[in-house]
Amino acid sequence: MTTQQQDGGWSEPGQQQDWQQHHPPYSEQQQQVYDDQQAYGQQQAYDDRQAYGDQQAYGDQQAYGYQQPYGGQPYIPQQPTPGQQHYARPNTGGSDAEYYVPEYTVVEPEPEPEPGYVLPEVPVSAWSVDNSRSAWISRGVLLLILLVQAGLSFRLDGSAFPQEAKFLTSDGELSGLVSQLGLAGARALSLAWALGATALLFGATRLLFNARAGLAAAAMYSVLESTAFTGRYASLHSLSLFLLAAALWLLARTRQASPAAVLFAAPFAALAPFAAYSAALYLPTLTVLAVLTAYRFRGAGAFLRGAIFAGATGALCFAGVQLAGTPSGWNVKGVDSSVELLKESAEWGGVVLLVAVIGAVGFIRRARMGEMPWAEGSAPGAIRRSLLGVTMCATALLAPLYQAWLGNGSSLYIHVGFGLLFAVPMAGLGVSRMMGAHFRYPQIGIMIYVAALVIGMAQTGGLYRPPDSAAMIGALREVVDTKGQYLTDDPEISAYYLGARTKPAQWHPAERGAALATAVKKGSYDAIVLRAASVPEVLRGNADYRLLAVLRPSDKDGGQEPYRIWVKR
Amino acid sequence: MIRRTVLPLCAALMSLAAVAGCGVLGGDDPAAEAAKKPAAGSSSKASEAQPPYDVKPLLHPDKEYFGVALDGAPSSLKPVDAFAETVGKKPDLVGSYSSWGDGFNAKGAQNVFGDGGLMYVSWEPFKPGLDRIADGSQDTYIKKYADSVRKTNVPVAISFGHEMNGGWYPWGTKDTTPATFVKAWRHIHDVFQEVGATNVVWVWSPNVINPVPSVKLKPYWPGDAYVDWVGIVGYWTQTGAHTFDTLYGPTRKQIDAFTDKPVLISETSSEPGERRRADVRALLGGVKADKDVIGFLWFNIPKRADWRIQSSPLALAEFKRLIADDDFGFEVPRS
Repeated sequence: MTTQQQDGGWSEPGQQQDWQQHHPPYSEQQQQVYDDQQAYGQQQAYDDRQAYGDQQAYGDQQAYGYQQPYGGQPYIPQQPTPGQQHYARPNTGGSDAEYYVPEYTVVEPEPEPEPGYVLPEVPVSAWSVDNSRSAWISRGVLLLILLVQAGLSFRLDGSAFPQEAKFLTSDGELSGLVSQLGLAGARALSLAWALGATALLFGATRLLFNARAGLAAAAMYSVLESTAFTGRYASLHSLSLFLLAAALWLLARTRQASPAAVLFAAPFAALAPFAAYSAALYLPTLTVLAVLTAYRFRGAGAFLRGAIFAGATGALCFAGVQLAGTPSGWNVKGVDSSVELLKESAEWGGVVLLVAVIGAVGFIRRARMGEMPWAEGSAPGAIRRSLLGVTMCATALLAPLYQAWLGNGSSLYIHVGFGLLFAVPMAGLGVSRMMGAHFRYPQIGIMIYVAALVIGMAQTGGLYRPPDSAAMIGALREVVDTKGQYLTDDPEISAYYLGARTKPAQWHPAERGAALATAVKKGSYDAIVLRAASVPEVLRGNADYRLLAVLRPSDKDGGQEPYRIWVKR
Repeated sequence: MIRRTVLPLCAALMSLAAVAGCGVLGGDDPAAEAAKKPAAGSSSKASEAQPPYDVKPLLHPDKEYFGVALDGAPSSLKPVDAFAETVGKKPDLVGSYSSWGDGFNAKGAQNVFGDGGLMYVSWEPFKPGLDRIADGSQDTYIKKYADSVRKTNVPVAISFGHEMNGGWYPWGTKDTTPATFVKAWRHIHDVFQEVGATNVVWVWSPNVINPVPSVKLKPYWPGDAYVDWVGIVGYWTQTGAHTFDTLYGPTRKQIDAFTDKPVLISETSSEPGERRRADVRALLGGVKADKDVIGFLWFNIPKRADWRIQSSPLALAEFKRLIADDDFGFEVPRS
């Protein structure tokens, strides 16, 4: 962490702009230089006097000698030293004097003895932040943030969601590997990816802005509803988020390097959509960021960087599609209300997006907070800042807008987290800006964090409601065999939990209305399991099926309808 | 430099491993446990967590039910124990009466089940009339009753509106049509299904048709989906029929025309007198011999006549001798 970064500004470690170059800490070696220079100056003055018999140059020479090591660097205002003052002296030289001038020799005063010690240079700010201790403090805070995130995820508990069960029974190559772990193992793996994503988000924000913004960003992201949910959801969403975060971090990491270094980020970005198709929405964002984050090669170099990234990612995605096929489900239209979906998205990500917009506005207005005005360094121009701010904030809207357009709200509570991953660095900057220079208003940051934490916890508690299927599974366990055909509202869950007794193909999804009536009348199913508040008309007093059990969820306020199990008479 | 890189990496990996470890160990998946362990395996959970009792194994038992109705039972099991001592065998079906408006005798049901048997409730709709039950205006009470039955989670036999083919009860032929009876029956059954009280054996229980030969039974039949047992109420009186076939045969013949549900002699006794011993022999012999009859319930309460078996030593001795047969009485399955 450099001082510039601490100030909330744009970091350019490649250039010699650091204030430490102006004010290096005191060291023996530099003291030596100082002494030598002083001696040189004095010697110079002596020579001049020898040559011209004029002492006027003495002070100037000393000043010159003092400035010598800074070779053309901006001058730092200092208290004037006595040597820098000009003393007007009468002209005492000249051969045409009309009065007697005795012959005499000017006796040089004894040079002052070398000082026994010299006080080291005092930095303008005593707040020296760029050291390993502050780095360790950052890491410690990040660890705390990750622990909070893990706790928020572990808070969520229950049996498998249908989609989790489907994932765990699928025979895909990667999901097949993960499903070996079982539900608990797969969920733990998801949490590991989620924690990794948060850590990478911190790293990327730190590189793009500064460590304070990075920590604020990680803190905001870690308490999001989608983060806690994804970290406790046995699916590849968490891996996909990790890959996107890794790509983002690599973009930030290679911003100083040659444009070709962006190729490191491309495989991560290209893999992400194959883990979860919704990640594809964010490849354009990553491309824009590849351009905007390029430092050394501003102008054409930046666009070259973007082009390399887009080309490589596109090529890898194309190859992936050829090998693995197109990820399915990304464009399924639905009948959900667009307004409702946008409203829900606002509830899930609104606070973070608002803070991100505040951060973006602050960033566009001023590249840095000015905590240390002597260390401004170079900063990106207003256009680049504006583009970065707009790109990051707008990315948060991609999934909500896309799914609202599709009218398909499936897993939107997870997908919002993908966009927020890109908006959160700006939110971190926003928190950092709102707290002000030198943590002037820490209460604002605390307030935002607590608000986000409470909102996130409440929302996850409401959303993370896997069906309470334990009783249903326990009852079906006594009913099923390897030959029967079963009609159920939860075929995935049943197939997963009763995998030891049945095959997934024995489980058929139940419908309602005429389709259910037809299935019941046909009588081809050995058991029918519905999650229903009441008995469907066709099964009321049915001659072929008898009601075996009605199983209520243990959480009576959970809003889950009871499972009703019918078996053949 | 190496230390600066490696240490944080180690710390991060260790915390990740710890977190993941917690996830694996702390992962409590009740459904996975339910899929593995036997349903009645753990007794640590509350009865709510136990799977609902499935009555199916009770419907066609290999042996005969031996039931009894006693004053004071089943709220207390003392009369049952005393009766068991008298006849030398423990009954596995204990009768009780519940008027419309009464709460469900959950304690009695648990007592009987705890003792290895099954409570048999005659639910008597004296008051509001079957039309009021059928039109849904009694649903609050029915739901409450059904919920109480469901929560008890022990098997219960319920006979609603027994002897509906006679004219002596308010729900009988005088004031009610067969259609209303069927509608009310189905409505009660539907409400029980909505509530989830699946632990009920539904007993449709007409009186023997001998005193009311003109009343056809079929119009009173709610349907196979609504009934589990056919109960037949038929007492052995001094003046009535005196063989198993003549007492129950005509009724069963009618019933056989529309259903093949198992038959329980759901209320019977023999009037004290000279023929009592022969009646007992005919009853127990008939129940044992008939494959479709799954048992009987002896009304052992003095009411209008002294129906208690112990009031006739000779009949009691015959009862003791015949009931000792291994075919009578069995422990109702525990789950």
